[in-house]
Amino acid sequence: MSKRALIIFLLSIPFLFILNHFISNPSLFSPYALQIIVLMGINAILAISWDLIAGVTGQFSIGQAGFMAIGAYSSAFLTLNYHIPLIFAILFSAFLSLLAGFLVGIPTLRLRGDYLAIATLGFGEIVRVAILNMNCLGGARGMKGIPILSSFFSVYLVLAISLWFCLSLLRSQYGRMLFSIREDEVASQMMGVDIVKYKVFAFALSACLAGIGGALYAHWTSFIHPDSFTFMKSIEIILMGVIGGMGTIYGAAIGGAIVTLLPEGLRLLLEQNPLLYQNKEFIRMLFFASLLMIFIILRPQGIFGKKE
Amino acid sequence: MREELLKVENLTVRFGGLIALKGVSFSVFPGEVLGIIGPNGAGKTTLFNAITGAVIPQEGRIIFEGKDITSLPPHKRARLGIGRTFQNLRLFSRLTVLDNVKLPAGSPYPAFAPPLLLPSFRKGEEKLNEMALELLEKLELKQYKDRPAKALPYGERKKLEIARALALKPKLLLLDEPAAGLSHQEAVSLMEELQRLREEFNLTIILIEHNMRMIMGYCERIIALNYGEIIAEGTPEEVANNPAVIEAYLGEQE
Repeated sequence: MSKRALIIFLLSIPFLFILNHFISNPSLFSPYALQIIVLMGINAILAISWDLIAGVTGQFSIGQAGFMAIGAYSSAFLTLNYHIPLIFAILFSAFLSLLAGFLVGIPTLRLRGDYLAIATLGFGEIVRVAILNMNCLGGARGMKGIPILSSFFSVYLVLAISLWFCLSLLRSQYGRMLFSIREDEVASQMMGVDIVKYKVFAFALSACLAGIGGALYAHWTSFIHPDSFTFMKSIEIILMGVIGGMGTIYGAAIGGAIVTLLPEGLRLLLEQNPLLYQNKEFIRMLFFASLLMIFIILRPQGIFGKKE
Repeated sequence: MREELLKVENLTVRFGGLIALKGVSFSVFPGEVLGIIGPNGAGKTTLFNAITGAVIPQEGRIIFEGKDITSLPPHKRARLGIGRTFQNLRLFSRLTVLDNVKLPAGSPYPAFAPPLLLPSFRKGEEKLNEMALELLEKLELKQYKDRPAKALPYGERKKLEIARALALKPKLLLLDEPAAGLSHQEAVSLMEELQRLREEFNLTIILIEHNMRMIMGYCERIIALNYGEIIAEGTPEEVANNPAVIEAYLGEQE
């Protein structure tokens, strides 16, 4: 990354800090607006995490919600029971989801295409059902009363760091190796790339980021439930990545923000019509599904992807 | 007697019931250009795949610089110095020409160096750039360096594959039909270029080629394969006049 990028990154920290004061001020921004803005940031982190493994490395994983759940529950468990600061909770959940990424990645990344998708889908469901049956994590009651430790500042700081980390990695020899795996696995091996090692590397990093996103999410909403991390959540994350543009990272981040914002606009429209409002969940699903199809047909490279 | 660079012993590859290679044995000596000919389906590309590790042979051994590499994974063989090109071009098509050539050099810095902007990252990238630009310069591809590989004309893509393989700093270069699909003129100039590169980089080359005229003029020794077996070995003249080779190519004499 260039010097200029570094300066932008470093300047963004005090900028976020100042912005935090304005955005968190209820007389300037309604709690509703703040809610949306913070969720946009969290979803951007999740979309980046998916883009790293699917868009950059070409391994179509659909278990992102599973890693997110691991991060959310492990960090919430710590802050609820041991009252530790957010940063340590995040570091712990990052470590745990990284570990989970390694453990899941080593056997599953030998699979290709559809098989990998099914295996990661299965993993996500296993995590969800396991949590559902664990009383210490609240089981089917969910976990409530998690201290609200996430803020606009912490979420967007983590987003800035993730963007910096992923983008600089992408512009290095490591990024080239990950891209080469996506482009042609056989040729990549023949050019000296240990493809199993770098797939696991990308998968674990992706899991780690999803876990961090989950931790921020838990400490923002203050209530988490296994239903927050269903297969549909993984699909939503994929939608963000696809709309933003796979393999660009920053595109995924913007995709995450857009996909968070759009349903809110939709809600405003629906509220004017009681009949539509009654079926709002149905319309929401219809809307997401059509959006995904429209993008795949008309602009498969996403908003920011380069034209094929 | 010179020490052989590559020694293939009794190599057998089966795909289910199909025998692609049957007890193939030969040696390649440093600095040599060995040609491999044979009709379609004779097992030429399978032989390359077995040497580079893309397919695992059921029997036999592959020895490179005195070391048994039969069970080594492909990326380790590449690092030992076995580079190759592909018959149907397998470039990283969405990466730039420059990135295609930088990739095979491996990483000179650890993964945490780029985000932390460590000096090892900057220096490593400078070196990679220098190396890649030098190779592109030699193959006259420098003007395309920032274009995606797939945007290049066919002949240039073939040259890019050679540049990419050279970035591995190979001792042994396997070329799978480098002249296929090129016009006669392009093919001749490519062969001249290969000759130059071979002297400059001290390469040993194994070459698969369909164009008989090309292979006759360029190789010192030729192996003819048919149905996975070596049917003839020798100088170009010997092989071209070998009755078994003529039969394999043209059919039995009436």
